[in-house]
Amino acid sequence: MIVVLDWLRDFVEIKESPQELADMLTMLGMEAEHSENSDEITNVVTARITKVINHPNADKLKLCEVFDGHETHKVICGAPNTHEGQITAFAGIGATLSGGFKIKPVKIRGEKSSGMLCSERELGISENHDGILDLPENTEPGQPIAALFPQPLQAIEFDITPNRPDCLSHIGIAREIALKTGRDLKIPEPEVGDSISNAVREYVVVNIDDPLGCPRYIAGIVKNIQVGPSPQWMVERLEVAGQRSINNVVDISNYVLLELGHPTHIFDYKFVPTKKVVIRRAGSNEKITTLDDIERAITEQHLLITDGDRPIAIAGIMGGENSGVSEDTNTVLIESAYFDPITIRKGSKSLGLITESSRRFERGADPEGALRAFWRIVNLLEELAGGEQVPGIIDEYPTRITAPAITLRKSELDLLSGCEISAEFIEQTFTGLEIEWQRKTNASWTCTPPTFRPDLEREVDLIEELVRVFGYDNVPTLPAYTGLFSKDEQDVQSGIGRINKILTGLGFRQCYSNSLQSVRIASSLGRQPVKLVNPLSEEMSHTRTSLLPGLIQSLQYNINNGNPDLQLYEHGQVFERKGPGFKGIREYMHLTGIVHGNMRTADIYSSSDQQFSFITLKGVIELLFRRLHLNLLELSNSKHRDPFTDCYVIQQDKINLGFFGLINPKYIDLIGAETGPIYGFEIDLTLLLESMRKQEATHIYRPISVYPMVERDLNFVLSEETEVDNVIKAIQKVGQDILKQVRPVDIFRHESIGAGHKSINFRFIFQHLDRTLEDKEVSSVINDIIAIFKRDFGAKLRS
Amino acid sequence: MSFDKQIEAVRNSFRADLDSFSNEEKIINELQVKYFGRKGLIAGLFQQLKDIPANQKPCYGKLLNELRGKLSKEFEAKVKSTTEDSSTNKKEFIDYTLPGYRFPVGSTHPIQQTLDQMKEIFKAIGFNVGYGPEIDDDWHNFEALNFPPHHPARDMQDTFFVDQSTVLRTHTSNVQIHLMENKPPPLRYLVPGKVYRNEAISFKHYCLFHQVEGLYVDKNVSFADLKGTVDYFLRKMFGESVKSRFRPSYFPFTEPSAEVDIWNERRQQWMEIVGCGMVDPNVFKSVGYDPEIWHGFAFGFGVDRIAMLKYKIDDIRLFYQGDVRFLEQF
Repeated sequence: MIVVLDWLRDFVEIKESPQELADMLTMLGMEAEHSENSDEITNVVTARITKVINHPNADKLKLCEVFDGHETHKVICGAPNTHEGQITAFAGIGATLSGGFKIKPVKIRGEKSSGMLCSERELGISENHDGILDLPENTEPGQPIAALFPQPLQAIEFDITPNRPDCLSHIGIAREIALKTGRDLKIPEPEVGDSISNAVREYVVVNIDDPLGCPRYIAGIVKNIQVGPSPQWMVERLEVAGQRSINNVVDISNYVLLELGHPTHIFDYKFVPTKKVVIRRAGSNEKITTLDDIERAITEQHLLITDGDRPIAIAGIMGGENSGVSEDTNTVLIESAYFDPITIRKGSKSLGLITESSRRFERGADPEGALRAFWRIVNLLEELAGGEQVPGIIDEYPTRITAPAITLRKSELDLLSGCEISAEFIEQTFTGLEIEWQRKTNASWTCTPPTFRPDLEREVDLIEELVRVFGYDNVPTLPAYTGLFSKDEQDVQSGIGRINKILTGLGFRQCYSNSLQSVRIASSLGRQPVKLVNPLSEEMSHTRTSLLPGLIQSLQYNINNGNPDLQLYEHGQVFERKGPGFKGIREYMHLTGIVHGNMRTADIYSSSDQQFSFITLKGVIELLFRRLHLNLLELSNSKHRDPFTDCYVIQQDKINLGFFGLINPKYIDLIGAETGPIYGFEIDLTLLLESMRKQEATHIYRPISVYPMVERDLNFVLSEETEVDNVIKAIQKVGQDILKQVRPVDIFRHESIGAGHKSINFRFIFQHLDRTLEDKEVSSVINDIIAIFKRDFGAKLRS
Repeated sequence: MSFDKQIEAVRNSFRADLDSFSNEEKIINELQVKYFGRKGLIAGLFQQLKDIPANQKPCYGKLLNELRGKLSKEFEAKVKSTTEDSSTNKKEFIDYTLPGYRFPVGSTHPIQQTLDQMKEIFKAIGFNVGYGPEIDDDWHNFEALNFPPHHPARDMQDTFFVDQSTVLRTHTSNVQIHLMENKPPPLRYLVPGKVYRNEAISFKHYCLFHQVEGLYVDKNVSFADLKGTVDYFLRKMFGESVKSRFRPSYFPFTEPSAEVDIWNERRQQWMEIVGCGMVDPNVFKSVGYDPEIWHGFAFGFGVDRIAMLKYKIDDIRLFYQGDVRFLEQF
């Protein structure tokens, strides 16, 4: 809502500067946005350039002497059109230019400048900034520029919240100012003409077919209209408020809309030959061409204004082209109605057509304000278009709309606001808000809000008004927590902090990527994505089913910027459609990471690059689980799991927590990336966090043995296909309690041990918790181990 | 000379020799022989044990053993320390200015860091942490929050729809409803999470961002408490000198409602970072709390905004590009 200050002054005295006014209203809940015309241009006068010389230290600058009618000033100017004898605009020290720019004395490249010569743009006259203002040579120096170029009217744009339809008008804003400052609100009472005569009924009868959609309809006739241009003051006010001037009749309707906030419509009476207005729901196959020249199909959810046969307007939204005012209009039918907010909103939504009128009706217009708006229109038509009212009005208002009576308890106000607001302030504010009130007891009031405040329905609505006007600044800033909050609540995601520490400690960078993807990418893993009905673009039409695409896209972005060696991870929600409707949507929390390029690049300490590989990623997974004390990690090879080739399953207690492995190059292609090999992991974070919580709950210390440990190395020759993990598991079974650790420390291949074979050096560590081990105990277990190697793996001991 | 005095004399002589010790092989050998050799001074003392009365023999035996142990340790230590002194001087040159061994460096995301910091601040004043779904039904995202169907307030948030009654949540406030539906009052919760808005992507807006929702319901919660809590948070987050203002606004699920701006010195303008207010009685009614008994406040901070203000970031898209040149700064 653009508010023109000059217009506002019709209703309330304004002593504040535009900035102060904007701040005051912002603190009342009408947030001011930056407005171009809100800065006043001051202290700029006409002046003659008496002398121009080149700046000694700058090619493009000139030193000018300027006479402003009283004295001569030295000013530096860079404009190409500067010349001696020129009359231009001079802003002296202390002047204010467009945009709030204040002139101060400055030094430019060693030369002083006490003022500025201005372009038309700097003066807010036009967008021209090619040179300084050029005035006729006979212009007297020393005249205020404002006198030569009337300034555009000052205006402030406000962001009005949807609960305040009353503030979509100059009167509404003026009322707020009057309320806050205690100044008088001057609402001019329109001159009410003949409302009793039946003469008007010979011109038109009104029939409300849908009283729910249209609770009130006021109509009247003004004849002998002269359609023509509007007076300049009206054109100016409308244009600054963002409304193009069309002709006096249309402008009057728009003017009243912006002044009082009540939408009205003016029909050319000759296009209502039936002399009837019927307000009804649209049929199923009706069409109407609206004033914007678009043919619109309308349905049962739209309310129509008809002449009994054909539609002449979509009620509360836009008039029909077939009944609009034109240059040869002579008699008009004025409509000032109150339409049901939900009906108008549904209609406007389904047409995708939002107008100044629909915005106000859907938020709630004032059913009582309809009459004031009607007379204001009649007055202005008579005054500015030479019209003459046909005596009498039609006011169909079958069920009067009344505001509910509300009780306000001071106790509730004090409790909710956390401060004491005096009875005196309460009553004064009610009066300013035009709320009818009566003191019920010492500390409660019965209130009836005005009909232009549909947002005031309950006690809490009144409390908000009182606190708002009291000023949020005046409410104390006091947290007064009572009670202890020791409910057995656990932050179910607190484990993520530990995971973040581990992964970042390993060199991973955490990413956040877009959850919206194309259908091609989101469905590429055989997971059905959730589709949006109103996406921003095709590239963002579905929700993600995996975090991998986002990470791979980030990788590509970094490769393009010369950073190919990366470890990235993300945790977040992914979504899958498992069935129809809302209930068919599943959300999962994933922890996903990728590695690419070099883990180490050659430097003074290592002579060659070391690339990320399956083994390095496996090390990451192992370390992560070890740090989380989840030692039940089992890895099993599973050949196919998109998008991994050579995929390994991360299992715990037979539950699949996730997968890791080499990412299929075809998948990388599909995402549109060109990279080297990417190794990645995808873990169900919900399950992992659950395992972590279980582990934490049972985490206890293991005693440490104080007795010496025995270390033995044994070399076995195994066939190449034998998997070490299987060997180790078998050994652990026979190791009894005393085998603390077994791990391969060396792998050796040579023709001497035979083709297709490898020799692996295993290191065994034995220790007993309660005593020193005897040699023969260890030897006995070693013999068992050697036997297992021979029996189960056909391995030979190599000396 | 008594035996005790002889022992003392050996000890003194040894000390004197050590004081004038110089690290040369010849001298080391000489001293080794003089004190610890087969015919050395200490061995000589042991020789004399045979003349000591039988009842005193064990006592002097022990004394001599200790003496031998102690002096030989001192001798070794002296040799070692003087050897190290001299070898340092001869050691080859090491350039300690070379860069240290490079270890991998990782980092959490600035949004994560900001979220974590916010959680810490609120946990300290007794907020629990809760979570909720990102795709939700109309009831939880709108209707139970006092956005009636066909209400213009629905236009305040550009919404992504999955179908007529399913949306990508436009705020974390949906979790208020989930929490209150499942738990009796009083409660005090913090809800971090991702939210979605159907807005064209620019330096100012992204199709998703992060919020931290707060909800406190109890019998005597007031607007002054809300102001105090937000003010406490802002001071913890931005420092004591933070300049903020509470101004009236409108949200269907709170009344009175406010928006809080903090002053951005660099841009010379107010920047909105939180919407808040007292929980609307209609919200309590939709979850079955009695609004005559229970009062509460709710707030929703924009995490991205806070991180942008904190680190002076001008383009929200930087958060979602995964550019390591950006990430490594946090």
